[in-house]
Amino acid sequence: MTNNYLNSVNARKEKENLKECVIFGQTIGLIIILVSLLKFLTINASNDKYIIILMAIGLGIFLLGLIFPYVLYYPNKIFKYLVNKIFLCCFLVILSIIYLVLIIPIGLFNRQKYQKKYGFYSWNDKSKIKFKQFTNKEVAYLNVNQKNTSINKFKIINQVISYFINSKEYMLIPTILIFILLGVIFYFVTSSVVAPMLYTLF
Amino acid sequence: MSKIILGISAFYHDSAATIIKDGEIIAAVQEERFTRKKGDNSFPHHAINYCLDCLNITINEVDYVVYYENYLKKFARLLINYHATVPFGITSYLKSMPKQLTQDLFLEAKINKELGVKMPIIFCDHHMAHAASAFYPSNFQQAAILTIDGVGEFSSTTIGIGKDNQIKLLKEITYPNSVGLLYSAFTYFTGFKINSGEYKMMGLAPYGKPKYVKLIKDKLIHINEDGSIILNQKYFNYTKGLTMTNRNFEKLFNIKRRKPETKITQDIMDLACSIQQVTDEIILKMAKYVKKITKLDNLVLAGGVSLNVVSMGKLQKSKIFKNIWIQPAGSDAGASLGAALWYYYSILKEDRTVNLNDSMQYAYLGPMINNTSKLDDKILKKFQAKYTVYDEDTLAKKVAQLLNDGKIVAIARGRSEFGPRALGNRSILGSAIDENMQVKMNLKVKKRESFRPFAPIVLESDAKKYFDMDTKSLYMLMTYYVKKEHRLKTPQIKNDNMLDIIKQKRSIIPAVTHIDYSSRVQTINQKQYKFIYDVLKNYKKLSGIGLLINTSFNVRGEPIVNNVIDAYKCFMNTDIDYLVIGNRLFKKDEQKNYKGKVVKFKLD
Repeated sequence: MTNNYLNSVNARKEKENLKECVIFGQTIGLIIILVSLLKFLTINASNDKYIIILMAIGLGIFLLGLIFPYVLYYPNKIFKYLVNKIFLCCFLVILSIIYLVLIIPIGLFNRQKYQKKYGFYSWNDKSKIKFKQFTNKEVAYLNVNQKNTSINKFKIINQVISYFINSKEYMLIPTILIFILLGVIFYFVTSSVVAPMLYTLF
Repeated sequence: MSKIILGISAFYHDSAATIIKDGEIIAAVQEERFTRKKGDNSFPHHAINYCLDCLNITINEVDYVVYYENYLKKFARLLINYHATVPFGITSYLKSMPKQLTQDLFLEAKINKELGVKMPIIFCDHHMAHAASAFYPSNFQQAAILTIDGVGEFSSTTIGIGKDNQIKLLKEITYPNSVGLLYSAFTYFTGFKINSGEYKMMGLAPYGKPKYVKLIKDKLIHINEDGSIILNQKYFNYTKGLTMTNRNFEKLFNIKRRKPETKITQDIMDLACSIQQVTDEIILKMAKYVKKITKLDNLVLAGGVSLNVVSMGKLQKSKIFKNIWIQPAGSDAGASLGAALWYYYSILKEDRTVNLNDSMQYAYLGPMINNTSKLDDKILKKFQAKYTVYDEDTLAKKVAQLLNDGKIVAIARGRSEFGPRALGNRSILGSAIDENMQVKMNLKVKKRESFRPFAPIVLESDAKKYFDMDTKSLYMLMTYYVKKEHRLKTPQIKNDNMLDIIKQKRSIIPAVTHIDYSSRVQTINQKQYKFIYDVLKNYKKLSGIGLLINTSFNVRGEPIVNNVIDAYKCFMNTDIDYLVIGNRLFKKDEQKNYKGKVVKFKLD
C-alpha cells in the first residue's frame, strides 16, 4: 500500500496543529504582555520587578510560538480542552433554556399531533387504538445534482428551512433557527483560531 | 470516461468505505479492521486510504462522494422526537444536541475537511442505501426489496421494488416503531451490548422456551397482518432517555435487567427465545405482504435485522419467495456500498448488467494478504516467527491433515471479507466431529461465552447430505437444520448447568450443531475459493466428512484480523495450534521467541 491518502491526512493534521500552536503562543503571549503593560502604567513602582517578569514571560511565550511552536503543543491541547468544556457547559445551559422556553410549550401544544403523526403510541389494556400500518415512503436526498450544488458550509440554513416548510412543520422553524445560530457560534468558538482569544473572556 | 464513486458510512457505528469504478465494486472495508476498535465509528480514513490505493488514485480523482444517510432528515426526526416526548426527553436531548448542532448539521463541511477536498457531498436516503446494497449486487433483473433496520432518518423498515437500474421504495414503517430497536431493547435487557450483542442473544435463544411470546404480543407490541408493528412506548425508554427499556419493562416480565457478564438465568434464555420467535413471526408476515404488493418471485434484503440468520432461515424455508438474496454486509457498513451503487445506477442512470458470477465477489473486497510477499516476510522476521513455506496444493493437504489430527488452524490469506462474517480468508478452522471442540474453541481460542455456537463450512456438493437445504449458502446468512438421520438422541439433563447442555453430543457433527439442531451453514465451491475447497476435499478424504468449523479469526472484542501483524499476534495470544499466512505454515510450539504484548480488547 502506498498510503498516499493517509500521509496527506497526517500532514494536514500536523500543519493544523502547528498553526494552532503558533496562534496559541502569540495570543497568550500578547495577552500577558498587554496585561503587564496595563499594570505597569496603573500601579505603584514597588511591584515593578514582578511586572517585568510577567512581561518577560509573555514575550517568551510569544517568541516560543514563533520559533518553537511545538513546545506549546500540550499547553495548547489542555487549553483547548478547557475551552471546549467551558463552552459545552454554557451550551448545555442555553439548550436547557431553549427546551424549557420553546420545546416544552410547542411540544405540549402539538403533542397529540406529533404522537399520532409519527407513531408514538402508549396504551393500556383498556384503550383501543387503530394502529397504523405500512405508510407510503418519501425519499429525500441532498446535493444529488452535484454540478448545480454550491460548496458553502452555511447552505444548511436554506436547506433546513426549505425542508421544514416542505414537510409543513412550521412550528419548528423558530427553534431550528435558534439551533442553527447556536451551532454556528459554537462552530466558530471551538475552531482553533478564535478559541484561545475567547477563552480569556472567561 | 470512467466514473469513480466513493461511498462512506461513518459517525454512528461500524464506519466503512467503498469504492466503485464504472459500477464494478473495487474495494469495500470497515474502518475497525485497521484501527482495531470493534465497531469503530470514526471517519474511515484508513478504509478510504485502502480504497484509493486499490485504484492507485488520489482523493481528487474521485468523481463523486456519497454519504449513506440524509443528515437533515435525521436531524428533523430527532427534533420531532424531542417535541413528542416533552418533558421527559431532556436527558437524551442534552446528550445528543451538542453533537448534532456542532457537527452533524455541518456534515458536508466536516466531510470535506476530513477528506481535504472542496466538493459537494451527496447524501443518500439511509434505507435507499440499504436497498441499493441489496438489489444492485444481486443477480436479479427484478426483485422485491425489504430493508429492516434499527432506524435510518424516519424509517425503520422499507419495502421497494428494484428493476434493472432503478429502485423505488414504496412503503415504510417509521420510528419509533422498529423491529431492530425492539430486538436491541431485548439485547440490552438481557445484558448484551447493543449493535454487537444481537448475535449473542440470537445464539442464546434456543436454550430457552418461548414462554413470554403471548405477553410480548399482548402488552409490548401490536403486530398488524402486513407485518408492520407498533411498539407500546409505555415499556421503552429509547425515545426519551439513554437506555432502551424502562422500569415498566422489568415489572411486565418480573425480571431484573441482567448485568453484563453475570450469570445467564433460565428467564433470560426464555426472553431471548420469545423475542426471537416474535421476530420470526414479524418477518414472515412482512415477507407475505411484500409478496402481495410486488407479486415478484425474488426478494433481496439488507439492514441490521437481515443478519438475523434464524429469521432468514425460516423465511427461506417458508418459500414465500422463490429466490432470496441477502447483502452479506447488511448493517451500516454495507450502506457505504449501497450509497455508491445507488448514485451510479439510480442517479447517473448507467446501464446495469446482472452479474451471474456474484458481483459481490464472495465478499472478498478487503485488504490482501499475498501468498508470498517480501514485505510480510520482513515483518514476520521482526517477530522472529518460524514458519515453513509450501506450495498451495501441499499446504491444503497439510492443513487437512492437521485438522484431521484435531488441531485448530487459523487462516489469513487473500482479501479480507466485507461484513461481519469470515468466509475462509480470515478464519479459524477446526474439526466439527470433535464433541469438545465447541467448548475448547469458545473458551481457549475465542475467549468468549461458552454457549455461542459455531458455524460450519461445507463442500457445496455435500451440504444437502448433512442439512435440510436445497440451495447454496455462500455467505452464512441463514440457519439450516441438521438432517434427522444425523441427529443423536440426547438424555434429559436435570440441572441447569449450561456447560453440560453444550457438551451433549447432538449429531455426528456436534461442534456445529446448536441445541435446536440448527446450523449457520456456509457452502463452498471450487470457483469461489480454491484453497479452502481443497482443504475440505483433502479433509474429506481423511475423515469422511467434507465439513469443518469456520469461525472468524479474532478473539472476543477484537475486530477480525486484517494483516499479517494482527494475524500473528492473535495466533500467539490464543490456543490456536497452527497458523497459515499466505503460503506459510506456523506451528505454535516452534514460536518460542515471541515477546509481543498480550493485546487486550474491550469486551463486546
